[in-house]
Amino acid sequence: MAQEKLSAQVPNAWLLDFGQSLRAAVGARVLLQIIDKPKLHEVPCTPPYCHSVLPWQGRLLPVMDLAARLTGVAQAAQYLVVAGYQEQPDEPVRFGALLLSSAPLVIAVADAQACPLPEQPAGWSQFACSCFEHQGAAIPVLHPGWIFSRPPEA
Amino acid sequence: MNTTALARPAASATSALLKISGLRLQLPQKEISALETADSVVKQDVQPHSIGWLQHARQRWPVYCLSQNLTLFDTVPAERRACVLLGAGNSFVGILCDDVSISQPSQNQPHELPPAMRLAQTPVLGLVATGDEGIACITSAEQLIAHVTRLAGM
Repeated sequence: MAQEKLSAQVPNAWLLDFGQSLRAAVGARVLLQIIDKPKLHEVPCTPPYCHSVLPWQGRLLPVMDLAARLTGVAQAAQYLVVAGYQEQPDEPVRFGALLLSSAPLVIAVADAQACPLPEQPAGWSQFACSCFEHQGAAIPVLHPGWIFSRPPEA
Repeated sequence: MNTTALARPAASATSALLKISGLRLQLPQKEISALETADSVVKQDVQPHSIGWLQHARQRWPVYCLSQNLTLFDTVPAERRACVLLGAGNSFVGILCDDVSISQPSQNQPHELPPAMRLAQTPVLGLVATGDEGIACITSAEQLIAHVTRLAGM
């Protein structure tokens, strides 16, 4: 029991703020870098919520505005975070970048906090694989592969 | 106005870089059939959404002015000083550009367009970092001709 309480206190997630009261989380090992005022490059003929790329370590990462994706309203982003993920355990690591309205926070999350996904906005289930309660709010847990590796809906 | 054929170098892997405002488009040089000044474009009897025409291979081919978002402009910005005639099969289309340069194959690795940015009918086939910390969008004459043809509703 003492061991369980101890493990629950260890920060194991990042809390991400997308503005418009939209928040979500990713696992602690998903975020690789926080970038303030990055230089982005626009790409034409792309979705309004994912229209630029970030040069990063020899790669060009898609930059996703999840608030715009969920609500249609672009956020006043202040930060960019680089996320790394694998589609399958034996596949190479892939990368993407998320726009944020404020700096991410580290938090500790335990299984006992699990709860249903918020009903609004309706699109959370496309990007979140689970959800937990944090300070009275439901916080979806993002699956980066569902955000970055799926083509836009037709 | 008859067009002037570009000299074809022995190496077919050279690329042409079209500058359109802040956008740079890279395509194989061999897909450019002619290069003219914007003043050479005939502005009489124009097709809808085109800004004029060039004569090539005994036919008139429409010339279009694109924005850096690859939408059609009806009026021509002053910086569009060049016109490339793109050829794919038996189809030709003129595109106004600010500048056209020819380069040897880049040492930079081309990148696929990330899945989250890949709209069904995008003419952008990939991305490549350029030497000046910018990027170029990789395309082809076939893709660009199909794109402007769709936009013009032909």
